[in-house]
Amino acid sequence: MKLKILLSVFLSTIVAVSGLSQDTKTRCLSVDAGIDFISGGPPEKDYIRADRGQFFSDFPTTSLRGLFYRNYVSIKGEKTVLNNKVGLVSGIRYTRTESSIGKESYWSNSSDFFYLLLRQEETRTDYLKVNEITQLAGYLAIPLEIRIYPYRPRAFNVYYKIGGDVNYRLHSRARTVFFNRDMKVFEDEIENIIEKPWVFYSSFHLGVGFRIGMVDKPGVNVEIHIPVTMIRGGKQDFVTPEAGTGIQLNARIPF
Amino acid sequence: MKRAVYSLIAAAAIILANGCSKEYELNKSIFIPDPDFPELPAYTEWGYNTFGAYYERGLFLYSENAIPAKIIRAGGITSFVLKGQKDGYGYHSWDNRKEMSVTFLLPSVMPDSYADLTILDKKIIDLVNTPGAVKLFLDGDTIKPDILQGELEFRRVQLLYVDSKQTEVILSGVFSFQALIKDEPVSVTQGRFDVGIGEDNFFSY
Repeated sequence: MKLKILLSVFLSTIVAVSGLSQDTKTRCLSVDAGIDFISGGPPEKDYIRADRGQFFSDFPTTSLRGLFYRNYVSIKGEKTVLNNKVGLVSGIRYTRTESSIGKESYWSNSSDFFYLLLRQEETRTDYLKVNEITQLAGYLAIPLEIRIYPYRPRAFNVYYKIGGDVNYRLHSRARTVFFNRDMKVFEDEIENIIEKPWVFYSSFHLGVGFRIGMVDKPGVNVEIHIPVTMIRGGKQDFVTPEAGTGIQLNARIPF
Repeated sequence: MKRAVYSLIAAAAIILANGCSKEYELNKSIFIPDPDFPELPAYTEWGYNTFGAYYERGLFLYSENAIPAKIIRAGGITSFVLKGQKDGYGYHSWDNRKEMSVTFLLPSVMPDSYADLTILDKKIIDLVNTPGAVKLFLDGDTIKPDILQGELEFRRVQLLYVDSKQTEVILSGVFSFQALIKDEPVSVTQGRFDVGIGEDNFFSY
């Protein structure tokens, strides 16, 4: 299965790049890297004990945050058509996603803990005090983008884009930070309790880009993506991403 | 000398902070509204330290200002006490005039410690056929009502371990009854509780 997907990704890249060779003035190969931050709803789980009351039934029962971000690297080809007003982009991408519950922000850890229901056997119930759970996953993806270049080419150009990618999971693992470090022995058990990462997901974005450098010379692009949304291929989410924003840096070589 | 005093105060503060952090989280009450009766806490089994019922059309609800549940073993009798308020302004307030408690007698239950309460798991107590099964504290009086019908059900009793350390017992269940109080028939309906019983609210003397 993985081999077939790898093969189809490889072929799509070949097709995208081979299309470029038809017009020497309208093709470029690029390497990009980007990051998307997507906010998630409060994680109300049947394995996490609520830590605050509700004033109304739709009020969250937890002060915990669900955070999601992803970063990626891609190799892409671009072909411009319609008098260089429209660019068609595709290629191959590796995406790394990180979903977490318990963190206060993307880059700071929490000293507070929550109670996680580890197991219930007859009249014995076990809770663990957990600071945070992080789920990491790696995906192979095919990015697809359409860029609109409405302005005359200059050394600095603004363009608009719509894009997305389709992702297939290659690997994943979960990491837990325990309030009591001796509880580390339960880390594998927790990985089986939490929801599995999606096998497939897609992301979509609108964006504005800045092309720096002349079209026929090597240069860089900077893109701001807003909003970024996702469609997931599963019924249950560890973190439920809603909408967010992203940035992408792109080094291009025309040929 | 001053240094020694400061050191002692600092040490005591650290011990208290460490000792209280876990207890505070498990001891505090968390109100999750019932989807059908939003004034009452939902039936839960997490040890949220809440209870509620309708006394006639009024509310009998736990309060943040009183320990909601106690198990008392005294004089060869074991009782389960729910203490709160009748017709209060919600669980954040407290008014002595509205204090209400319901005490259920637990026949043939003789726990030596809170951990022994697991024998209550799935136990149903018929309040009609248990003499003196219910005692009320209401409007400043202690009342022994004549129970017309009703039962107390412990749907789930869990001995809770936190980080592999025995911590408390969670009692979750439901109750309802009809009774004659001062010759007037009254009903207590939709009763539910989800309370933790540990060293601090298990009494044996």
